[in-house]
Parts: sequence; structure tokens; C-alpha cells
Amino acid sequence: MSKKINATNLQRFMIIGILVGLCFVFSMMNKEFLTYVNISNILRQQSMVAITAAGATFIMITTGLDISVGSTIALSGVVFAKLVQGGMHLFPAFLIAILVGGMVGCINAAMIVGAKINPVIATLGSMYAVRGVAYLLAGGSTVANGLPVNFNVLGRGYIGPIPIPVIIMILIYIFFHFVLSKTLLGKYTYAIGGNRETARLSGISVSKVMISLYVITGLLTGLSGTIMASRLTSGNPQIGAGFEFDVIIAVFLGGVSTAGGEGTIIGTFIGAMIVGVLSNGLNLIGVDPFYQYIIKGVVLVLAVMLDMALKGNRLSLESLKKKILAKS
Amino acid sequence: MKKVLGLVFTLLFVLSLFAGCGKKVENVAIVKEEGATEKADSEIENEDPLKIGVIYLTAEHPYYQAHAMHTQAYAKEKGIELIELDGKLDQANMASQMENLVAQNVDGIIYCLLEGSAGSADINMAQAAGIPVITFAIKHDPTTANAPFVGIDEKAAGALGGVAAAKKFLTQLPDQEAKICIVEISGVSASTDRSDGFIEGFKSIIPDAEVVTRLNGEGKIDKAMSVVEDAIQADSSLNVFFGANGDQGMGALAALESQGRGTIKTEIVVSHDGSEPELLKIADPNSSLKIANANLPKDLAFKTIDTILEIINAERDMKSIDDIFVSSAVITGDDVEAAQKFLKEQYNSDTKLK
Repeated sequence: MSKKINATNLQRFMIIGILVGLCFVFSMMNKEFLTYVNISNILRQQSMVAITAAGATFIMITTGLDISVGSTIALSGVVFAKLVQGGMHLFPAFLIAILVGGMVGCINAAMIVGAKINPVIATLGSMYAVRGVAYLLAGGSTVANGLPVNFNVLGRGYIGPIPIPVIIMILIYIFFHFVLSKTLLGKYTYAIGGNRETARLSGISVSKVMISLYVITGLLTGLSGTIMASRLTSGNPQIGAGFEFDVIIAVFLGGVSTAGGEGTIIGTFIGAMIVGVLSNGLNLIGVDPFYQYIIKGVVLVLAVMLDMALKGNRLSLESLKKKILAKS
Repeated sequence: MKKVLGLVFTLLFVLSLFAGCGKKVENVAIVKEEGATEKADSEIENEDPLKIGVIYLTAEHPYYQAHAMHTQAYAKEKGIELIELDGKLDQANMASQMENLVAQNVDGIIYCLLEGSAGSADINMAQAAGIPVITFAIKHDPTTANAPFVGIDEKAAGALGGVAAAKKFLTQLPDQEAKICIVEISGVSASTDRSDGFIEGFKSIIPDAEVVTRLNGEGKIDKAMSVVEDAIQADSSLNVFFGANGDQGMGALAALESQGRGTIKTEIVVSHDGSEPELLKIADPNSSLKIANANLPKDLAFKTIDTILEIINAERDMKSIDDIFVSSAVITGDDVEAAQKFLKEQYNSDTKLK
């Protein structure tokens, strides 16, 4: 047990270490990196990935998956823009767009929990279908005409010196950190991820919990979609392509185990920031786009290898220590 | 549950058997007709409309939607039956679609490649089956496949925008040094050719203009916005932005606006497409998006149909390596009426720009 605790703590330190290390390297290479404006840029750019990843963390702790989030972002954004374009006030349009995300989560849950379809297949199906709905709603093109000037406040506005998306992200993380660590829903999530059958036998309604988690992720994705649309001052059915991979990478980097049952909200936040810092830093120092793909891929694989090593799937903690000691 | 699934699969199996048998009967009928007199054959041929396959690069882009709309209208006018397919920006998908079109024995194929060097094998396969192919928008590699090409000269079109942008820069920001940021799809020649042309055109007017960075916007507005935010953080003196398609131009503009820029006093943004969202910004007197290179979907759609018909009617050799260029336009904020006319004619849009 103590070994496991040590491994988990060591992994957390390693993730924070990776983030700090990246920040250090980039700040040495470009003086603009460690400025308030740039840090605020990174936080704002990553806020949508991070908000969605907060929900995805719950699902992935239970070994579930939602790869429809990129399409849901597009659909919610289009719904938000379309409603506002039609004359609806911003706030109700914002709420409806978030609910549309929740509906997608609900459909995913119905397929996964109700029809017992594999999460990858179910959400792959909804990924295509939802993207199609977004295109149909938008009439195949961008919804940009006739949007009011304040449409972009949510995505580009500030409260004091802090961008609004960043404030929303921080509030989401405080709330869901509390939910995952202090509430029954959080405990049930870990229990299901640890061993679904044992969780069921101990009286947890696995189906209800799983439905809740997919709906929560859908709602958070809907929220990200409205922020994205506001940032772009348009509802664009093309956006969010590959977004699901950024979310999955953030969650895995943050320490959610591929085997389930482990992971934290704070870890996911750090994971999302690693992705953001890496992209931003590589752009700032002018690395060729082709090399950027390679570097991002290598960092992801190294981080997952580290995760496996520390959890004893490939290497025991002891053998890792021995190797490190031998090299030093 | 198992019983229901069993029933569904049995039903599907039986239906597919029926479908297969139905097709076989149809084939037999055709064989019989082929065995009839020559007169009957020619009559059948005359009754069948020409069947032309079109593989679009993607159906998810305003330009291709407008192109498809004009292709459909023109084909209807000419009595052509179209088989339209969405290439989904995926060369493997396009290769399968080419095989399917050859299997359907269409009379001709209009093929929009993802990348110049790809697709030669598909073209050769179709030609070996006697089906003429023309490539469209992105030129095939003429060293590995011989076929006519219809499109715009990407480099020349980019240069046209570059010249217009440089002239605008001199009047708008006369005291500044031009520092250029390019947002393109790295590794896609049509995109990089546009950018190269833009740089060439711009430098023909302002020779000491500096290309500071070339970013990969991946052709998407959200990706372009993020990379441009990073670029202006790294160098805030960037003051000329070229998006090698409409979405990338709009993404660059969104990034600038989010940093309190994006006005005529801060920089010049140029995009390449001429879609409705771009034109709305161009018509806004305060926006820094002031120029769009515009492909003409209507003209290009007509030219592709005309060219494939020329080959089918033996007026042009299917293996000719002709480059048939259609000129592009430069839309500027100085003539909003012309932009409005362009929007109506090429995109069939009634949106008021003013």
C-alpha cells in the first residue's frame, strides 16, 4: 500500500515537474513566454480543453470514454450562434446550447449504459452524427452574420485582469475537485473504475452513476462550445476537429490510469496545461510544424510510459528507482 | 435480445439476397439488350444521360458547397447525371471512391486531389478502363499521370493578393516596416503555393518586407486563432497576416481582435476564398481584414464540366496535359458593391454586406 501511495505521489510530482520543466525551458528560450499576457493566453486557449477534460476525467476513471466531445463543441457553438442570430437573448441561448451538450451526453449514456454498446463505438457514432447535425443547423457554413457585439464577451471578455473563460475554468475545477474527492458521486466513480462488479455488488447503482457522468461531460462540453463560439464570434460547424484527442491526452497526462480507478481533477488540470504550454512554447520559439507533431507525440508516449512504469504495469517502482540510481 | 438480433441479421441476409438477385436480373436484361440490333443499341445509348462522377475535396467548406451548387445546376442544364462524392480530405477515401466510380463505368470523372503527388495511380486506373479523368483545384503530378487540369494558378492568385495588400499597407501603415505572418496548411502544396505567391507579390511592391513566421493553421479557424495568438505574443510587431484560406484568415483576425487589435490602424489581414464571413468583415470599415483573394466557384464549376465534355466528345485527348486556368478575383473593402455582386453571383447569397 505504502509503495502504491509513494508511486502515486511520485507520479504527481513528476507531472508537476514536467510542467515546471517545460515552463523553465521555454522561458529560457523566449523572453515573452513568462509574461502575464502569454500565461493568460495559454490559460484561455486551454480553458475549453480543461473544462471538457474535467468531465472526461470522471468518465475515464471508470474506464469509459467519450470521443464525441469535438463534435459536441461544434454543435453547441452553432446552436448558441443560431439562437442569438435569431434574436434570442444571450443568456437563455447560452443555457440552451449547454443543454444541447447535455442531451448529447444523455444519448451517449443511453447507448453505453442502456444498449450496452462499447463506449468507443457509441461515441464514435455520435461523433459523426452530431457533426452532421451541426452542419445541417448551420446550413453548411459559418453562422456569423447578425450576431450582436456582446456575443464575444464570454470568450474574449475579462473580469478585472482575468479572462472570463479562465475564471469559468477555475470555478469548474474547484467544484469538480470537491465532487470527486468529497462526495458520494466521486467515491462511486473510483469504486466503479476500480472494479465495476464489486461496486455493483456493494449496492452502487452503476448505471445511474454512469448516466450522470456522461451527462455531466456533455454539459461541460456544451459550455466549452459556447465559449469557443464566443471566442470566434461565430458558430462554425468545423471547429473541434481533434479536440477529443487534446482532452484524452490531458486526462492521461494528468494521471488517470488506463486501467481506471485512479486520477484526480487537479492532475487533469496540470495535464491540460502541459498540452497548452507545449503548443504555445513550440510556437513561440518558432519550431517547424512538422517537428511539433513529433515532439507532442513523443511527450505523450513518454508520459504514459511513465504512468505505466510507476503503476507497476511494466516496471516496478523499485526497478525504476534502481535504474535511476544506476544512471546517477 | 439474442433472438431480436438473430431476427434482424436473418432479415438483413434475406434482403441482401433479394438485392443481389434483383441486380443480377437487371444485368441479364442489359446483356440481352446488348445482344440486340445495332439500332436498338444506339437508341439505348441516346436515352441514357451521360454519367459523370465528381469527387470534391470536402463537402464541409463554403467554397466547395458553392462549387457543388453550380456544378449541379450546370449539369442539369446539360442533361448530365452526376454522382457526387465527398473526399473528406482523405486521399485513401478518395482512392476508394475512384475505384467505385470506375466500377460504375461512369463516362468521366472530375477529381479534386488532396495533394498533387497523390492520386496518379487512380487516374491511370480510370484511364486504363477507358474513363477520362480531369483533376481540379489541386494539380496532379504530370510526371506520373497524364490528364488535363482545371483550376487557378495558386501562386499567381496569391501574388495578386500580395500586390494589393502591399499597396494597401503603404497607404494604411506608411510609417511601419512590413512584418509578415503566414497561416497555411503545412505540407499541402496548394496552400503553400498561395503563400509563396503572396510573399512574392507583396515583395514586388515592398522588397524589404520581412517574412517573420509561417504557421500551421491546419485550415481551421480555431487552430489558426491559437497559433496566431502565440505568434503575436512572440512578436507583437507583426503587421501583415495572410491566411491561405478563408477560415485561416478569419482565425488570424479573431486572434488579433481578442488582443485588442484587428483594426485598420493596427495591421492588414488578407484571406483566400471570398466566403460570406470574410466579405462581411471586409465590408466593415474598421476591420483589418481588407482583402480576399477569391476563387470563382461558378466559373470553375462550369469549366470542369465543359472540359470533361470536351474529352468525352473527342475534342480533347484524355491524356493531354493541358493546364486550364480560371482567373481568380481580388475583393477589397474599397468596393463593397463589387463584393456584394460577387457574393450573389458566386455563392448565391442574399446577405447584405452593408
